[in-house]
This record gives sequence, structure tokens and C-alpha cells, in this order.
Amino acid sequence: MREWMKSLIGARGNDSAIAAGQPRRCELLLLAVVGLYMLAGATVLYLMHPASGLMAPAGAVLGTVAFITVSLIWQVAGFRGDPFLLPLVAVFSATSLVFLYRINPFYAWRQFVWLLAGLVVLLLITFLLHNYRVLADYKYIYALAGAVALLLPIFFGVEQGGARSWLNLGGFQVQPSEFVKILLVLFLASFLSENRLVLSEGTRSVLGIGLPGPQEWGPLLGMWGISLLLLIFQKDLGTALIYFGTFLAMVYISTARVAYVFFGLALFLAGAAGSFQLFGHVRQRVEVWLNPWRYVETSGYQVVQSLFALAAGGMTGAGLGAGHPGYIPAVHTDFIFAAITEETGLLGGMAVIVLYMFFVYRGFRIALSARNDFAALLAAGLTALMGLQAFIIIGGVTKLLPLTGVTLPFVSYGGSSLVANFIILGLLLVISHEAGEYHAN
Amino acid sequence: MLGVLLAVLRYLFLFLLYLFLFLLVRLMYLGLREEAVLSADAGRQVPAPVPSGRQQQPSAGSGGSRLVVLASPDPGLQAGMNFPLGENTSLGRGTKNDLVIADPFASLEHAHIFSREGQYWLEDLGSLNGTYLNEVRLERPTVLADGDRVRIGGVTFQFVRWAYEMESCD
Repeated sequence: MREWMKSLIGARGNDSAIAAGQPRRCELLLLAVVGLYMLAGATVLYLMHPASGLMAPAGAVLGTVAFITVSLIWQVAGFRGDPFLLPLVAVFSATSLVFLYRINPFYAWRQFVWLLAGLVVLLLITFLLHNYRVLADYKYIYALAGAVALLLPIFFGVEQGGARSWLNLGGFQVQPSEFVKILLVLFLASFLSENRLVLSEGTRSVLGIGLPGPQEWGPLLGMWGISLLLLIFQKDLGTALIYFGTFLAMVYISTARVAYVFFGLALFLAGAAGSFQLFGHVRQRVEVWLNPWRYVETSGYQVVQSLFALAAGGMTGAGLGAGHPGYIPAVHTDFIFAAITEETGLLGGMAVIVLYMFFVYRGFRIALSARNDFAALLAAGLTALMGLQAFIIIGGVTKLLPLTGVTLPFVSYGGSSLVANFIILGLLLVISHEAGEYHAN
Repeated sequence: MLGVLLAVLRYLFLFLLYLFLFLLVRLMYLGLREEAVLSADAGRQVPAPVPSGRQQQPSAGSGGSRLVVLASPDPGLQAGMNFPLGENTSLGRGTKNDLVIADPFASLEHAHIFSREGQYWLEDLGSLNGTYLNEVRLERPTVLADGDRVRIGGVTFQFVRWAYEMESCD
């Protein structure tokens, strides 16, 4: 067993030379395991419905080849980005494809096309954006573009699932808020890295506490207020929550002042209480969260079905393809975590959560090793965004938090979300590539 | 038969997910250990810390007096760096200054140090956050003495006059 392990991780006596010395080899090994995982899942689905042909196993092989190709291109180009992020994303994508195929093969094929588009975007970013620091120069353009992109769906948007956040572009629909979250992090990283000292120490003193002037916190609060207002009008509460959480995390990371966090939480509580009073759909969400059983037949149906699915999974799950995730509305997008847990059980669900935790861990490590404030804040912000999003939707599905419709990053069905997440992955890798080059020299 | 095969494959599916998790953790652990070894090596190879400004020998030819950085949050100005003073040295955040202080509390044209009758004078140029001489805010042009501390924003300098000048003055 031990010998086999050593040969598996490519060890020749001194096995510590692998992880740091040859990042891409690490990556390839992990990707190969992801390929086997995806193939096992696809074979189960094929054996259950042999009539549908070998589409599923073929897709699994193609997907694995696509990821390995990206890794090989990086190896040839001498790219030194983090070796664990791509395998993590590959395992999320594999889970996504297997379960989407199980729910409805049509979703899986569309997702597969978006996945290939995402990988192309990833390659473009890692090759064209080496000088990512120029991104720091356009912060007000991000603020403007973000505001416009959020405004558009209010006037020209289509409503889906209670949220008016979609734009119809010919053949397909785009969700601008998925891309605006990247703009928000770029703006905050650029603004905070420039004003970090002023915000953390303050230029004036009120009651013995150093406070920064309005020219420092004004743009911050403005940007935050605009995005929140827009999202309330779009009724997209989950995205508003993610924006706000990311904003607080980045302000705290850049200033190390807990006071901002408490102030932000107070603001958040006031906003939550206000929207509870003002908006019927918010009140409904909270009531369903507190007691979904009272609304089993109506607004609580989705959460209740999700809880049934989670319970039915037990320890090792019903087995891939043997559960009944079809009873949960929107199981392919927001509720995919319930389907995964029903069919792979507590073990599968916990593995997914742990994988997200490792993604966040790698992201914060990249932030710590970054060469300047802007890069560190950008990496930390993007990571916080990703972690918050996974936490909020998994919390919603398991009734830990009120349900707010956001996607599970890299797993839920949805092209905008997937491509936006690949842009985030690309930015994280470019930052870690720069740090890697520095440490190598 | 098919049922058994399906059951085996379903457990294999879950097993492979955990195999991935195990390898991920294992390789990350190896990476961390590698980093620890590397940084320990680097720690041994690093030369003795750079002597601080006060102990540094004046380099020949620069003449006059100088400012030595004592503390700075900005990596562009590191503790121990020397800046020789000329007839008129401007300090500030603007890039046209003789000494650029990339500190958010520094004004574009913050202060200047000029020489008159063998003395160096420090004058604030109407900066927003002030220039501090020995932690007292500067109100009017003031003569600098050896060892004076000049603070602009988060950056602190020490004013140093050459020893031979001090002798010639005495």
C-alpha cells in the first residue's frame, strides 16, 4: 500500500521535492483522480440507462482531457500558479456534471459547453493578464460599470424565480450580478489598498477614536449603498448578502479594525429589520425559515423537500441515481447540494463542504504570499466571496439560514455563474503565479 | 449482477472523492514541510541585518547633511535609507519632489528643508496633516539640530549632520 502510494504521488525516496518543486505534476495527479471519480459516476449513470448510449462516459473522458490539457499547457509555459486550485475546481465541476446528467442530461450538456468556455477564459487570463496590477488603475470605471450592469436588468430584465436579475441576450440569458461581484472586489481592492492607512488610523479624532474623513469612506459607502439598493429592487437578496459580506471582510482585512465589522453588522441588522417590515418576499423567506412545516404546501415546499432529501441520504446516501431529487424544485441550480447529499449521504455532503474549505484555505494562502497590498486584498476578497457564497447557499439548503437564491460555486447549473467563477479562479492563479516566481528566485 | 456492479461503482464513486481529498491534504502537507525546510535554509543564509542609519558610515562625496529614515510603513522608504540634503530639498507625495513620500497622510508638496547661513531650516508648506519636529507640530520655519526627528505622516526621519561639520562649527 505504501509503495503504491509513493508511486502514485511520484515519490522517489525524497518525496518532499514534489509539492513545491513541481506544482504541475501534483496538479496532474490530482486531476487524474478527479477523472476516475467522474468516470465512475458516469459509468453508474450509463449502466442505469444503457439506452442513452455512451454519452455520459464519453463526456467524463472529454471533461478530464480538457482539464489535463489546461494543466499541460501551463506546464509547457512554465506557469507557477497554485497547483491545488484547478483540481479543486475540477472536482466541483465533475460533481456538477455527474449530478446534472443524473437530474436531466440536457442541463449537463449545456453546462459542459459552459465549462469548456470557462477553461478557455481561464487560459486567456493566465496568459494575458500577467501584469494584473494595471487593474488597480481603473477603480471608478469598475464602480460605474458595476452600477450600470446592475441597473440594466431593472429596465430590460426578465424575472426568474422571484429575482429580476437576468438579461436576455438573443439565444441565452446572462445574470450581470455574477460579474458585478468581481467588479466590486476589484474596486474595493484598488480603493482600500490606496487608502488602507488612512482608514485604519484615521485623520481626525471623535471621542478619542481616530476616524477617517468623508473623502475616504464616502466612495466606499456610496458604492455599497448603490449595489444594495439595486439588489433590493431586483429582489435578489442572496447576492446582496454576498456583496455586503465581502465588503465587510475586505474592509476588515485591510484595516484590522473590528469596529468597522461591528458598525457593518449594526447596519446590516438595521437593513434586515427594515426590509423585513417593508418587503413581503423578505418576510415570507424568514417565516419559511423559522417554520417551513406550516407552509409545506406553498412557499415552504422547496425547503421541506430539501430536508426530506438530506434525511433520506443517511450516512452513505441512497447511491448515485437511486434517490429522488426530482421532487425538489430548482434542484439543478440552488438546491444541487440537496441532491448530492441525498445520493452520496452525509459523507458526500461533508466532502463537498471540506473541499470548499480547502479552496478558501488556498485562496487566503495566496493572499498572504501576495507581493503587494492590491494583490493581497484582491485574492482575499475573491476568496471571501467564494466562501461566503458556498456558505450562504449550503446554509439555505440545510435550513441553517433563510433561503436566498444563489448558486453553489462551480457546481450549480448556470453559465454566467460558471464563467464568472472561472474568472475569479484565473485572477487567484495569476496572483499566486507572481508570488511563486518571486519565491523561486 | 448489474445490481452488484452498480453498488460497487457507487461506493467507488464515493471512495474516489475521498481518495482525492486524502491526496489533496497529503500533497498540501508535503508542500508545507518543503516550505518550512526552504525558509529554514533561507534563514541561515540571510546576512546580518543591515545596520541602522545612525551607525552607518557616511559615504564620501555626498557632502552636507542628510535625512535618515527611522521608520516607514511604505516599502519604498526603508529604515536606514539615506537622503543627502542640498540647498533646497522638497518633501511630499508628489513625484516631482526631491524626496517622494508615498504616504497617504503626506500632501503633494508637504515641506522643504533649505540651507541658509550654514544652517538647515525645516518649513511646512501648508500641508494638511502637518510636519512634526520631535513630535511637535511645526508652526514656523525652524533650524534643525543634529539628531532631530522629522515626521511626515507615518514616516519618521532623523536629521544627521556630518561630524566634521560639527567640529568646524565649534
